[in-house]
Amino acid sequence: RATQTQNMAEKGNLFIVGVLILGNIIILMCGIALYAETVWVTADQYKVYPILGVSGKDDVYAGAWIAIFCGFSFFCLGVFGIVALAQGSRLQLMLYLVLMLIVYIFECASCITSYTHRDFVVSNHRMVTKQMLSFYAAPTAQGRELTRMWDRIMMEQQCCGATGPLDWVNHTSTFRSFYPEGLAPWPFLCCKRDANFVILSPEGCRVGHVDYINTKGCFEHIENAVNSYTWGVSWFGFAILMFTCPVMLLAMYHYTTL
Amino acid sequence: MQDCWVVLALCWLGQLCNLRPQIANPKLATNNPTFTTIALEKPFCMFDGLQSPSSSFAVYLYAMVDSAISNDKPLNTTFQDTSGGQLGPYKAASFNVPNCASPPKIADVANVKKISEVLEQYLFRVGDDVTCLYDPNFPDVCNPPLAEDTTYRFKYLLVDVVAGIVKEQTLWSDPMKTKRLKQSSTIDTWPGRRSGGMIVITSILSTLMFFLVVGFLASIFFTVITRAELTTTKCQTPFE
Repeated sequence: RATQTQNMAEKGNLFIVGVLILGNIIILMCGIALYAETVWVTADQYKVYPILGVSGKDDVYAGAWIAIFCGFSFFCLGVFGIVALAQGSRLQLMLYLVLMLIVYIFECASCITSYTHRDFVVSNHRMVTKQMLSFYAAPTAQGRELTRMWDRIMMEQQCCGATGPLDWVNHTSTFRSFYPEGLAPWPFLCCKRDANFVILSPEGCRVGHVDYINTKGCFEHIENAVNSYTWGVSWFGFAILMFTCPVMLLAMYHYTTL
Repeated sequence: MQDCWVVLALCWLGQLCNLRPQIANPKLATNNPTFTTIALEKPFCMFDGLQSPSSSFAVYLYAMVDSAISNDKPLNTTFQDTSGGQLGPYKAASFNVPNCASPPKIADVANVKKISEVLEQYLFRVGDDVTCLYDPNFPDVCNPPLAEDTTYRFKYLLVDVVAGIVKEQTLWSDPMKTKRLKQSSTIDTWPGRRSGGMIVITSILSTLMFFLVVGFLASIFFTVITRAELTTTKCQTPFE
């Protein structure tokens, strides 16, 4: 009768081991995908890093860097977990659980910081507007960096200011302290241009005629960029953590039966 | 010359009593009035039929702060004389009488080749010249920037340049106020309510983390207990 019970237990164990190995294969694949995706985030395809860098809180990217580490660790630990399960070694499984728990905590931190900071930057346009007004055209290192970024965004996206050209004329700004309103109510990159990148009509742009000025604001573009980064870091990380949790709980149970 | 601001006497000449300078078409100039400038429509056909071919005429534009009293001033009163229009009207510009026969078409503004010309003919921007005030040798009428957040009124005069007398004038315009700039440092950057996504992520992940830590501790505790029981049973067996 004792042998029968032992057999039953081994059968149960085998099934659990199978499920755990499958779970670990999925975790290691997700891990490498997370790694790849967060590398994409830190590469900053939309080139909006200066906005976050100058604000002093670049946690979206910090989250991405942590997620790079975590993604790779999940990959390695997934492999290690499969080895440990196949060998049925208590010590290895314990090590797997401890390391997994550490990586899990780091990944949680990455998800939460990244999303919290997204709220801080793009939940409304005011922070971006204020930063643009105080740094655009400023002769400091940060000012130059941010000016380059805004110039490029305004040029490529054919937009003007954060919410539109009126940002520049309704508020005081560093730009205004350098250029009088009559001369340049807004940066000339706000003016519509022809195929050769020549301003269509400087006079028309100066009075703000809609045919000669880009009325769209750039905030939408910045918001989309930061949102897609956060989506990659936070929501994908969150999904992986949701999946990893039951696998680890099962592994813990398995550990007690060994 | 002393009577140059008297309007009533001239009323019989035409509908001038109803004519006054108008702010520029908002479709044309979206940024108007600005912080220091106000763009006006030039007086098209306002002074029709008053110009005799023998003499040459010009339109003078006068500006004053709304609260100032429109008292008698010489025609050439400058910005400095009236401390920026606060003591009375000052001469802000003089230009040729706009051509009533062929006024510019607003629709032509869409045409890149014509826009510069149309704007030149149609608009006059008060407060456009930032440098003339500091140039002692500036020959022409100085049109320096207006004060911010101040209400102004404007008036056009038709002047016989040769004789130096006022032939006709419009009423004072409706009050027009320059913009007040908001300090960019006062923009409140508080993100406001937390987004739903952040709350979901934070709360669910904290809960999961709690479960994992508890599960981990429980599994260790459970293993230690069973181990201890096993050893006790094993140790006890031989003695039975």
